[in-house]
Amino acid sequence: MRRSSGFGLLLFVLAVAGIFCSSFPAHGQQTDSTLTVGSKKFTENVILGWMGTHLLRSEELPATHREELGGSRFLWEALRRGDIDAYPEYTGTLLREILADTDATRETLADTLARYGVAMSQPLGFNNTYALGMRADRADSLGIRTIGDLRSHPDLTFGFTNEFMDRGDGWPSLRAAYDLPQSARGIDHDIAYRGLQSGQLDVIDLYSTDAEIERYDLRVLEDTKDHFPSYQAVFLYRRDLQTRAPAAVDALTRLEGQLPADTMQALNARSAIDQVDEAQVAANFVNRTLGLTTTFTPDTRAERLRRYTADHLVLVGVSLALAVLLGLPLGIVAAKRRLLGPGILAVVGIIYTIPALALLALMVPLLGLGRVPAITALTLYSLLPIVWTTYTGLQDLPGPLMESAEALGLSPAATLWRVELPLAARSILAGIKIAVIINIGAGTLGALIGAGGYGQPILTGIRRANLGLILEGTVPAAVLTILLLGVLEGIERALLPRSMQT
Amino acid sequence: MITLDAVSKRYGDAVAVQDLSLSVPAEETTVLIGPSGSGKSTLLRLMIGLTRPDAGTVVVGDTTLTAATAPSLRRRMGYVIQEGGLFPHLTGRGNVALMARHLGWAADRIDDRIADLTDLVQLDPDRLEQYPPELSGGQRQRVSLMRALMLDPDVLLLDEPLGALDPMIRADLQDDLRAIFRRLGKTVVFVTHDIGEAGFFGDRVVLLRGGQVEQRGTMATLVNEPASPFVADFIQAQRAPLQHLHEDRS
Repeated sequence: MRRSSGFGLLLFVLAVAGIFCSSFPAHGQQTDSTLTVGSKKFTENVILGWMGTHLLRSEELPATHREELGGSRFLWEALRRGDIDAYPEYTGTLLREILADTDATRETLADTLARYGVAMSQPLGFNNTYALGMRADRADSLGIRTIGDLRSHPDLTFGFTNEFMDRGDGWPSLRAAYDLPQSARGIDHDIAYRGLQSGQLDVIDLYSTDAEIERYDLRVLEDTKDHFPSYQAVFLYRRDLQTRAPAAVDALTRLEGQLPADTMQALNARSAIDQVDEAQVAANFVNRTLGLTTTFTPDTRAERLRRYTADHLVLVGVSLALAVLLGLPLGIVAAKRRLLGPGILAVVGIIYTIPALALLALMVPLLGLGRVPAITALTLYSLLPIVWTTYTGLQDLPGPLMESAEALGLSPAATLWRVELPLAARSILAGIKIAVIINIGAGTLGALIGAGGYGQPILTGIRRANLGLILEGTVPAAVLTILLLGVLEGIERALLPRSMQT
Repeated sequence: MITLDAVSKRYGDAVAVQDLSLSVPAEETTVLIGPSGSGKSTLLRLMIGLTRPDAGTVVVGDTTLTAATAPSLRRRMGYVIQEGGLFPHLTGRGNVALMARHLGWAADRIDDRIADLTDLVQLDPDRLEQYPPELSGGQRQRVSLMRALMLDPDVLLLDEPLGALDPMIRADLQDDLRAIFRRLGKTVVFVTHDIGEAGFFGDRVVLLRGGQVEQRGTMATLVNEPASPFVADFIQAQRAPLQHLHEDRS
């Protein structure tokens, strides 16, 4: 085989691999008749999500659970798009956040939801309101009992979840309501608890049913001005479920009124403190309280690893193949067209500066949840190294060689294919390798929008403060990086003539 | 064979070729000499269309060189530059066969042609399986010449092809090249700044200065009947070191 066609073969293999990989359904990918329950990425919501899933399955309905999705907005958009059929939500979040632009009140909430094609169960029992919390010993020593008491301690350090920092009922309005002098920084909820423990943070936001309140002996500061609305837990579901699968609505509504606050806090503690799998905690509860006979066998570590690896490989493989198919022509155009070149380089550069989470957030309303938005985002990120290395590889070719090609009478297209791309191959392959590294790393964020992969155990591990689970995601990601780079190195050795190898 | 009519070429403010007319006769070797910047390389590049004239026309055979005719005309011309311009990702054979493969020649025909050329340029056939960085300077120039001759062009343009070689190899290759030119009877344009080399190759010598023709004729004419003090000085400058040795010996 001639060397000049080697590079084409590489492209072909990548493209076929991409198409091949994408034909496998992702873990949790729904088929038409499968019902999908979603949940947010905190313990209580994951447990509720599993309860809903178990209840649907007990009615012989095929159901999957997309757990630990990135935020209320993601779930709301996904529900409206039909990517998920139901998820646990809180009335306060609906009124103050999701429907903040409407005139909805607690009384008209169900009617307002109906306008969006969404229905709501009766409250499940507990009110999980937002609250501010401190370590009890610290609060006692400073004489702090209410949120208003914070006003006379301007030196205290506040760390709030990013969602709380932005929400309509979150920090800005709370600060105004109580006229508080402090400023606050955004931090992950589970990490905030650890900051509170170590004394680096004095005040954090928390959910009133958090298991950690009891465990860490925290003081929940009184909301004397009733700033925080009531956060009654409910199940939201698509209204078309009532006709599509009425049994599903019956199943979900069985949870109504079954979960008083102390019960929910105890369930949260089982998972967050005792490290019992949320699916197991949920199964035990529905069996005990609702008389189900759900059996739940958690996956073994090997099974989990296989699933995460398969999902991650699809994310990385497909996005890489797409990025090569798109990025290579873009890089060629950038190198060949003086007018377009700077624009193309700038655009792929700007795309790369968009934070991954923001890019994913932009994708969800357009593309929903799962692999498609995750792969789209990863593809966009991978364009930068591939376009830029293709561009520089072609720009840096020695002038005399290009003139030789012209003097021989080769057409521009033949020069590109037989001379320029092979000569730039090392540079282009370097870009592809960088894209692999970027993709494997950024791919872990795919779990936030239900694409699975190595991000899943990392999310769960951060949530449960479980280093073992975090390593379950990070170590295979590192191993995968080394393996894939090795494969690319091998391809490079096989394809490049010896005169172009180091 | 190649006719330049009132050709001018500037690079910014610098004049490379100025209102120059020149006719290169077929089946002879014409040598372009002159100091650096006299326009001899530019003239060669104008002949193969790598540079477009600002004014004037270039006619090859009976075809005027334009953007549209350049690709097909180039296939009737071979071009060799100082460092050979061989593609490092292709073996010697790959370089030589590149255009023929692109034009869809049958493998047998390519192999036969390469075998003939290997004989002609006296290259060890094993060298053809090596990549350019693995070859010596002289071997690279022999491969370059094979590549230029592959499509059996009417015209061969060489831009200081021996300039980067050490003197011994250069002398060998000079002999071989002249023999090849005589045997093939092609139209050859050879650029050098070395008057010894010019006299060795050239049926006709064209001395350039500032983008214009200073004098043309045989080497003997230039030496014995210089048209200007510049011609005499240019020739004298390169003869002086050797004359000095002759005087020592006498």
